[in-house]
Amino acid sequence: MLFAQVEKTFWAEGSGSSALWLKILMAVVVGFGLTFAMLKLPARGRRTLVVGITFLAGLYWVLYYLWPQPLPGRLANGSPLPHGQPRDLVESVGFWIKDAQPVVSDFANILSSFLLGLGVFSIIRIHGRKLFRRQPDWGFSAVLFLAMIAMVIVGYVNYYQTRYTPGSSKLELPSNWGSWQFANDLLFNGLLQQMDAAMFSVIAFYILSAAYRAFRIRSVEATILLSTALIVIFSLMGIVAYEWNNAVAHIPGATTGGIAGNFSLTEIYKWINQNVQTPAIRGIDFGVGIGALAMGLRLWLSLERGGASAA
Amino acid sequence: MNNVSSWHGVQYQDTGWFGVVITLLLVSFILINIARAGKNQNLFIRRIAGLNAIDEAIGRATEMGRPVLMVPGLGDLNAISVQALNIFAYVSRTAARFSNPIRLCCGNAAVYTVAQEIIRDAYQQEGLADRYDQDSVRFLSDRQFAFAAAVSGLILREQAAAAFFLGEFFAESLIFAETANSVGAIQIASSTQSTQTPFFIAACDYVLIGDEFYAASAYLTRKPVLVGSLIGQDWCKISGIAMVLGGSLLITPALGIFSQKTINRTSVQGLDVPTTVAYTGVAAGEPLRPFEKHAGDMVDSYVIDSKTGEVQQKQVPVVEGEKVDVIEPRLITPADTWLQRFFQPQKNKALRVEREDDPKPKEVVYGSDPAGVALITAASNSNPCVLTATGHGLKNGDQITIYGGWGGWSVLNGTFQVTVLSPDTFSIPVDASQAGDFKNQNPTLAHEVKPATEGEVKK
Repeated sequence: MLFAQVEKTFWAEGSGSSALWLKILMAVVVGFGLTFAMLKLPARGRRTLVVGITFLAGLYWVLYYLWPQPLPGRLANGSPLPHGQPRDLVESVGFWIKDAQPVVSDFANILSSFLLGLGVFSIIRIHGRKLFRRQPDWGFSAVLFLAMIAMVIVGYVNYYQTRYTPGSSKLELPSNWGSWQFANDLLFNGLLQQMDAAMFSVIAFYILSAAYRAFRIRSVEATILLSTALIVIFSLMGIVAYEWNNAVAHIPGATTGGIAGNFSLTEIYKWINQNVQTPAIRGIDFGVGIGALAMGLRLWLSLERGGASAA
Repeated sequence: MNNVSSWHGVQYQDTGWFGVVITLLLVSFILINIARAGKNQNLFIRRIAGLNAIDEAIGRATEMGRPVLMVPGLGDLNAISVQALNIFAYVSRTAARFSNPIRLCCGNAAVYTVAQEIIRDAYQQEGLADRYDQDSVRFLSDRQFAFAAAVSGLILREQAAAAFFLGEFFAESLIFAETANSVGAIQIASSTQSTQTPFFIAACDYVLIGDEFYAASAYLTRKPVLVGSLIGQDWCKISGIAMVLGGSLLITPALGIFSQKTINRTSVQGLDVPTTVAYTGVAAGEPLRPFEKHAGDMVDSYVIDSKTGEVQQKQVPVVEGEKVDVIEPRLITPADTWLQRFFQPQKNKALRVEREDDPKPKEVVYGSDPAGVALITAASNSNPCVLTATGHGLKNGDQITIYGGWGGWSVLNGTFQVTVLSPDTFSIPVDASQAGDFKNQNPTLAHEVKPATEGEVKK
């Protein structure tokens, strides 16, 4: 008998239970309370509220990463290990934090969904004005609206039909598709994906033109860049690398640990990669990491007041 | 028994508390310097060419009467995009003074909302709120290449004279940089993605490399908090360099506190982690960390007897063509110093077994203390499945947990109620009629079958 425990935590009350309704009610009251406080408080008080909420939200993630976590083991078949109730305070807090993670992530998701609405509103405002005032390039705006409306309508109808209508599982097969499915396929796979791919492919040409400008020998740095790039490019070209390595292999001692062996193209490339490129990138990444840590700290503790925008 | 700790803190099994201590140290460096900078205003920061060029780029755009373009990358609203927006706020303030049009293009709705606020604030602080055009901050698309197309189109249509690409950029970086280059814009760029930095270096006039990006707001505003934070970052980097040097020196002779005695268990790929789950974090059947060895190499193999807990060492040759996985669980011995424990955290952890009649979970210790572990030596192809485990000591109704079955026998993994048939056999309600030959499939598997009894419980 397999017994699966129903996860019932502080963050996940049973469906329809009175505790759930109570918590929903409390959340609504707190939400309205905060909104009201934000509206009524003077600027200084509002700032304190924002600082407090920022600190609490940041504190959650700090604890999430640093607080000792409960054992995440699992069985070979992927099911979680049986676990009991927490035994001490450390474990209790650990479980509480772990259980809260999806809820906290949901907060962020809900917030960003609202913000997406604002983003779409920005697009509609800018292009709507362009269209109605017949400003230059208004045709592009018309295409944008047309594409947006078509995608939304076709997308929703297709979503509804493939999920909520009787026998919708049949629609997984293209042979059973109706006009909405074909329209959706045309818009998404036929147009959007293709245009994405086209944009991505353009990069190939840009690489060529950028490389041409970068490799023009203007300075010592550009010369070093060019010669290093040539070695790496050649080492990746099978025939060149093969011939070069072959030539090096004929130097006495090259294959038996002699110093000449280091000059095969593959070895030089390996040396550049391991001793020049990787350490440099690690160094840069370390600096970026420290910078992000400092920035995160300043934001979390609200030390960054206005940043570069303040005088 | 004394080498078993409780089972929380599993994320520190590999790194110990060393990582946390280092993080706290770095954090303290930054905070100390922020406090220092509050008192001492004359802290030195070096010049950064890319940032000096900001005013030059805006000046040029003003002369040409063309807009300044800013892109904070594709990332979410995080430290990177906020930093980019901080720099853009400075750019906008300067542009506002010269009545120069700006275009800030966002690929993320949250960044767009914050950008609107920051840029509007920048105009207001300059006393030029009337010059702020709310369409100058735009949300374009959150789809990577649609965004790339939109920005490129904007650059070409509006003929931007200066372009700032600061933030998280991916494959689209070169599309932006080359398009802006084609219209002759001065470009100042920085990507926190080190893979994109070379593209920017190749295509842009000025590039902020790595943490110069984070240094920008300190450099531009000279605010004590930012300057202090920047100097704290330098302290962090110096300590990082010192650690790399110190570690290299210490590891070179393989002496001192960094040298470790490890116990390796080997298994040829294709088999499971042998026997019981001796170490938490490595469940039976989970692949071990790969560690390449060559054919003919002799590998130390330490096999832990699941019954007695004895560790047997033997040398095993690696067979050609087979990949050997080696894990390095380390048995903490009483002789270990606290320093060794600190640097090399404990690998022996405990798991729990629950019994229905006892609501209080009990801890059964594995590895060095194999209490509560028995080897299943045979299993029947029947429903219910009859298992043989010599001297299992179970009684009817006990809940048991079995680990390590694989292939057809993975049906055994889980927690079951047992029906005892004899002192050596019992059945569990599992249909194993299609599971195949137990012996051939699982020659080395042992299953934990015995629930905790009072004598074996470790509190």
